Amino acid sequence: VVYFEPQFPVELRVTDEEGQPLSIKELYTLRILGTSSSEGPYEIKVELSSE
Amino acid sequence: VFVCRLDDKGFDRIRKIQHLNFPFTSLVPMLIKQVQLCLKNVNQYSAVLTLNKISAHRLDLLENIEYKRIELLSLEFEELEEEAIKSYVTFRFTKVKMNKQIIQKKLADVISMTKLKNQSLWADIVRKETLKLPK
Repeated sequence: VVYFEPQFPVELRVTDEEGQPLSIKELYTLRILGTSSSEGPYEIKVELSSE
Repeated sequence: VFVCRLDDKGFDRIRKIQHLNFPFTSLVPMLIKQVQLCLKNVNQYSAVLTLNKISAHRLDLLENIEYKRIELLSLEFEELEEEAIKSYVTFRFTKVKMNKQIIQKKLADVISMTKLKNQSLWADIVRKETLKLPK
């Protein structure tokens, strides 16, 4: 079941090859998927992907 | 593509560490609410994805108040393997292709309906070339 699939801004923080921190703002898509029963979700899977 | 998998046991561990006061069943509504806040109120709410070489990647959902940045929720993510990314891209591509087909079908229906019901409007549209006709 896909619950939600919005695009939202994410600040991406990485360290470059010289060890310097880099920060980039990008749009990411968040997908929330889950397996559920009448008692509630068993497992939630959250996927985050850039376009 | 980054993935976070959580069941109730995994969430209990996070809840204790991060002092969260909501149950596993509220995690999805809470995530939805936070992402919507990030979209609506860019200055107050933000999301930061930190990529780590040694440990897991981390997504922090944050609230910026006047004098402090508060961490609301942190989730650990792992990067998908190449094969998984390929199947993910294939899935996304198929979905986009299907959406395109549905839209093209709707457009073709609108065109045929307009041609049939309102020929003067159709002539106007064709003359102005405002509409790219599907093949």
